[in-house]
Order: sequence, then structure tokens, then C-alpha cells
Amino acid sequence: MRILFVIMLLILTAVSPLLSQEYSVFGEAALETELGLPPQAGSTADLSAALMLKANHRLIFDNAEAYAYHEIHADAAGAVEHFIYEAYLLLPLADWLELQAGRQRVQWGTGILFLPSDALNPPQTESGEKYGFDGAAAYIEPVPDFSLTAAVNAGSALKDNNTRFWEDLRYGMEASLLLGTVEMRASAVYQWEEILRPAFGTSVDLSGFIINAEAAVEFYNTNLYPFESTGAPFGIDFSMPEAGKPHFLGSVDISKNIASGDLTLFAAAGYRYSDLGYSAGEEDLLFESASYAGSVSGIGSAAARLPQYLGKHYLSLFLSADLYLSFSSAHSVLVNITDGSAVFNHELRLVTIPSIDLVLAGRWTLGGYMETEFGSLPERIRITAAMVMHF
Amino acid sequence: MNRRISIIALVFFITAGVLSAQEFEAEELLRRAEKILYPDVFTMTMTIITEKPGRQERSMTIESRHEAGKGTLLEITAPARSRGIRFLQKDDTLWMYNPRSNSRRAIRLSPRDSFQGTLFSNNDIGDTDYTDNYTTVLSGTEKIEHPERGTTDCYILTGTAKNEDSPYGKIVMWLDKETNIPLQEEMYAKSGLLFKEMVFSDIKEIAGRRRPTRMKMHSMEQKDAYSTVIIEEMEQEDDLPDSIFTESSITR
Repeated sequence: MRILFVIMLLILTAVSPLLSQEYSVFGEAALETELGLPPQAGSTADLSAALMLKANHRLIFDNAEAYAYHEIHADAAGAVEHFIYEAYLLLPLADWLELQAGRQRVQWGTGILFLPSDALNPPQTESGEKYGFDGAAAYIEPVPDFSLTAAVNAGSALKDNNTRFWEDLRYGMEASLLLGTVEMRASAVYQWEEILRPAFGTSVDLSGFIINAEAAVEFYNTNLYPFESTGAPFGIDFSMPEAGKPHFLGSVDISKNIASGDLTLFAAAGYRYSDLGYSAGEEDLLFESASYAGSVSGIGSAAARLPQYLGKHYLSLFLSADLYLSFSSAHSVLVNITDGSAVFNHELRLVTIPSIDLVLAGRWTLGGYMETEFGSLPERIRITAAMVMHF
Repeated sequence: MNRRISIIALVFFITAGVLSAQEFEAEELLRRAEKILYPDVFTMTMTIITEKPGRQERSMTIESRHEAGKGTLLEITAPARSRGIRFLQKDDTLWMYNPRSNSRRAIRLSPRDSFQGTLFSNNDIGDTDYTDNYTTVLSGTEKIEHPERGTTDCYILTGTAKNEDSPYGKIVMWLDKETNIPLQEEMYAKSGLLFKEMVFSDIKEIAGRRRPTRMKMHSMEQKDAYSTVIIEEMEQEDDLPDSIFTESSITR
């Protein structure tokens, strides 16, 4: 599958000047070195260097558009990896109707820091994964300020010899309405025996403060019934203990952008609650499980694949300051209130000459190793220094 | 007694009639000025140059697509580090998408904030409607000294904010009496303080008529600081697809 995407991308790039009305590419190339300190004493620190290229491609034809966002990563040992985050074709069929097929992300929900309604796009971990899902989406805008999005995530269904592939398709439908400065979104995501999550989100501008709130109800609890196949209609057997019990998920965030002269400040704070998450006692049991510990520690220095939002209560803060074309800094913290662990991210960016930035970034965690969500990340401290060239 | 009441009523109605006629004329002049500045539907490439004392001059190139009643989509095409940043403004709602951010999502901003470190606000760049935002009166005529046209006879229009969401508390605009082309504008904060001044110049044939293609903004908050919008290209369009003005379109 990945090879197909690479071939498609290369072909599109090669023939683009001949076929397209308009081709554009922008992105960044970076030379970076990274130092990672593991959470447990006695383990060795990991020092690495890499060359990285991230590019956004756009091809605009008369009747179709093609988009791709990918990254090539070459480390000091010579290993080259290629990540295709998005690669899709857009067909504008009418003034009010567009179809999109390929690997894509779909704008879903209203939140900034937390998105309980978004069970369609792959979860974005704290390390900021940007993968889209493989599937199709339709955008319909019958009247201005009211739109509908229908999407099918076929990522799990695209496996060899998958004879019951329809059970692995994830469907989403969202309606969005803008009334003055109030935006409202109602959505539902469904997958056979996996998920049924209707949700509602709203976003308002109160004197420059943007407030986003989302509420969702999950009717299928994969935490309680991870391996059950109920055989019930729509995959939900409401006779199972607690299966019919709705589980509430909700978030609220507030953000403010302040610009004065060359300085722009952006601050956001958010809280998330999930009834699907584990309580402190349940988390302890989970971390005691050998299989779970193995799955985490086996990841090595790559980003951990912890279940997204393991606990019930989360808090997130984000602050950035940008002195235009001179200096910028961004700081964030994500706290699992349930187990008391936290992950902090910091980035300082110095603009030296046009199109080149010097970047110093750091990530560190708080919390006991193999006892808490963020304490279990493979590195306790990670420091990155990079030179980034924009193109 | 009855006669006196009749005269008072007559004077009242005549005054009210004259005032509403003046208001109508002022609204019409403002509408004309609005149409001179921007067509109802257009695509445009503009450069914003910002000069601040003791700092290197910097410039930013933006592609803009606008349709009255639908919205404005802006995309920064230069400098390289800002390339691909998009803004969508629909009435009083603004979204921004930065392809370099980890989230790959559009976020909402307030339209009143400064546009990317320039002296223009997001509203100045994305909202081309004056008549929707201000109730206008013709407050007189004046000869002004224009840097390009010299001494010019002008109408003075004063617009007061129609509602809380209007970008400024008050605007005053000077229009060339002969052509109705805007030559100068003052923007006042809601407190009544003079906030910004703008001079329109470089009037030339573009997108089917003569329009100012250079707008130099000076902010009272920053001494000797200027931001200038230079319209490089402008095309008047019949219609733009609705799908351009959606949140999903700005994240592409």
C-alpha cells in the first residue's frame, strides 16, 4: 500500500508541470540532532542525528485537485524512512459538492486541545502524529453557512484476505452550522462492534475569547469488551452488562490571541473528561499487566503507542509567543489528572537569516515509570536542536 | 395653536426627510466607494510591506479570493516560512490554518487581532464591507492635500458602528468629489480615540475600473510605523465555488 502511494506521488510530481494548471510545493528541510534520556536509571541515553524533509504538494487541474503531505527522514546510520501523512484526490462535482478519496484528514469537531467527537481521524498523540485515514469523504454545502460531511475510514479494512471488510469500515457524518459568531457541529461515528459515538460541539467568540465545547456519548465500550464479538444487530448487544450504558465524554477549551506591534501571543487551556477512561485503580491494574508493560517498553525510542487518553480527567495548557520574523517560543503541558503524570513540550525558534530558523526543543515527563501514562513514555527527557530551512 | 402644531410637525417632517435623504446619499456614496475599492467577487494578489523604526522592512505576499455574502479566503505565499498559512473569514468569524502546526486543524481567531504582525487587523484584510458595518452620514466637504493628486475636493463620510462586531467604533472617509474614489480614511476605536489613518493612492485601471492599488496604514499606537498594501493583480469574477469558503477547504 505504502509503495503504491510513493509511486503515485512520484508520478504526480514528475508529470505535474506538463498536466497541471497549477503546481505548488512548500515545506521545510531540517538537520536535527536529538538526545533522549530513558525513564529508568541505568539505561543508556540515545543520541541521534537526522536529515528531514517535509513537503506539501498541490496540483490543481481544471476538474480535479491532488494534495500530498509527506516526510522523508534519513538518520546518521543511513536508514531512510518515508512517511505519507496525506495523499488524496479531490473532485469538485458541483458548486456545492466535493468528493475526496485517498489518505486524508477531515476537519471534525470544534475543539482545539481536545476533540472527544473525533473518532474518525486517527488519534493525534502528544508526539503530534499527522497521519490521515485511508478512505473517502463527501463535502456538501446546500446553503451558505450550513455544510454536511460524510466520510468512510477504510484504514482497518484494507488488509489482505479480509472477507468481512465491511465490519472494519468506520463511518462518520457531521453537520455544521454557522450562526453569526456561533458555530455548531453535530456528528456521529459508527463502526461495527467498535464504536457508536454521537456528539455535539460548539464554538463561540466572546469579546475575543474563543470558547469551544464538545460533548459525546459512547454506546460501545471497547475498554470493557475489548475482544467480544456480540453478533448483535449493529454490533451492540445492549443485554451485556453495562453495554447499553452510555459513556459520557466532554471537553471545554478557551483560547485567546493577543497581537500588539510585532508580538503575537496565543494562549489556550482545556479540560477533558472521559467516562471511557480508566480510574486510578484500574490504571494500576493495567500497568501491572505484563503484556501491557511489554507492549510499551518494546517500542524503543519511537513514540509510545499508549492508548489515547488512558485516564478520565485531563488538563492541557498551551502558550506561544511570536516576535514576528525574529523569535518564537511555544510551551505546552498535558496532564493526566487521574494518575498525576504530565508531559511538557517547549520550543524556542530563532530566525537568523531569511527562511532559516534555529530551533531548540525539549520534552520532559513527570510520573512513575510503568505506573503512569506519561511516565511510561520511552524517554524522560528529549532535547532536540535543529536548523530548519523553509521553502 | 393648531396652526403652530402644524408648522412644528411640518418642520419636523422636512428635517427628518432631509436627514434621511442625506443618510441615503451618504450610504450610496459609501456603497460606491466600497465597489471602487473591491468588486463583489474577485481574486487578488497583494503584497503587504511593513516598515517600523529601527527594523528591517519586511514584506508578505497574499493571494485572496472573495465573494460578497460568502466570505474571504486568504493564503500567504511569501515569505517561505509563512507559505501555506490560510485564513477564512465569514462575516465576523475567522479561522486560521497553519500547515506547520502539529494539529493539521483550522483554529478560530478573533477578527480584530493584528494580521500577522502588520498594522492591519484581520478584519481590515478579510472584510471588505463598509455598508454592513457602519451607519453613514455626509458630514461635509473639504479640500485635502493628497500626496499623489495634490489639492482635491472631497466629500467627508462619517460612519458609526452598527453593532458590537463592527471592526471600529467610527470611521471617517474622504472621497474624491469627482470620481468618488476613496483617498483617505481615519479609523477610531470604540473609545473614540483616533486609532489608525490610511491613505489610498496609485489609482489605476484594474479589474475593469480605476481603483486605488496602494493603501498605506499608519497606527497611532506605533510612531513612524507603516504597513502598505499593494494590489499586484486583481481579477473580477462572476462567481466562486461555495466550497472554497468552508473550513475543510482551508486545511488543504
